[in-house]
Amino acid sequence: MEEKDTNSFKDLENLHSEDFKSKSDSIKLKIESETSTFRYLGDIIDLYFSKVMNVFIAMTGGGDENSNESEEK
Amino acid sequence: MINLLYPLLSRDIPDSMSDEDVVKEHLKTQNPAYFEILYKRYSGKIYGKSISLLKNDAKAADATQEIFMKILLNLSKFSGKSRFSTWIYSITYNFCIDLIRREKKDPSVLVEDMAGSHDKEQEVSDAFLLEMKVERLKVILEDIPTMDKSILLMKYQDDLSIKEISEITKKSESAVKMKIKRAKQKFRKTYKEKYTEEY
Repeated sequence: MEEKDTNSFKDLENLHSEDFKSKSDSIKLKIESETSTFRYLGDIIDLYFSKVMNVFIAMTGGGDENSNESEEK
Repeated sequence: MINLLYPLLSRDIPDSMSDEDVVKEHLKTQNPAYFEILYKRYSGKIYGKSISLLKNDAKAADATQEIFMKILLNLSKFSGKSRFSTWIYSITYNFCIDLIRREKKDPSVLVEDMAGSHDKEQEVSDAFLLEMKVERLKVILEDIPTMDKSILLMKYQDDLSIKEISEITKKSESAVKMKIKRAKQKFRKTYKEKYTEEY
C-alpha cells in the first residue's frame, strides 16, 4: 500500500512546481500581454477589414454596379 | 467589453470544474478567469517537463510561455477525444523535442533508437524508479537520452496509459511497451554507473 504512494517522479514534479512559483507571475503577464495584442489585432481586423476590402474592390474597378454598367454599354 | 459585463474571477470558479468544462466556458465567453484556472492547473507541470527535457532554467521558462500561447491559440482545436491533460502534455513534449531537434543537442532525438532490445537483461521493477530519492532521479534523468526520459515521464509522472503514449509519440502500442522497457534498462545502467558503490 505504501509502495503505491511513493513516486519519486511526482515528487520531482512538485519540486519543479515549487521552483516555478517565483517565475509564474511574470510568465503569466507576458502571456496575457501577448494574448491582448492578438485580441487587439483581431478587433482591428473585425472593424476595418470589410471597409478596407470595399475600398480595395472599388480601386480595382470591381463591384456589381460597374459590371452592370459595362454590360449595358 | 465581456470583462466589464461579466466580472468573473478565477476564485469564483469551483475547483471541481473539469478541465474540459473550463475549456468550453473559455471558448464561449473568452473570460480571462478561465485562462487563469488552466494556467494555475498546468503551468507548473509544463515548466517541470520543460526543465527536465531542456535542462535549462531560462529556456524552460520561455518554453512554458510559448507552449501556453500555443495551447490558447489552438484551444478551439481540442476535440475532447482525449483527456485535456493528455492533449496539453502532447503539445509540451512535442514542443520540447522539436526545440532540441532544432538545436541538434541530443542525437537520440534525430535518429530512431536502433539498438537491439536487451531482453536477456533482468526486467527493471517500477519500484526501483518510483522509490528513488528525488535528487538521484534528477541526476539520472539529466543523463539519459531525451526520448527515454520523455517516455518515462509520460508513464510515471503523467500516469498516461500505453494507448495515450502511443498517440502522443505516434508509435504502435507494442513499440511503446518496448521503448519503456529499454528506457528503464538505460535508466538502471546510468544509475549503476553513477552510484556503483551502492549498487
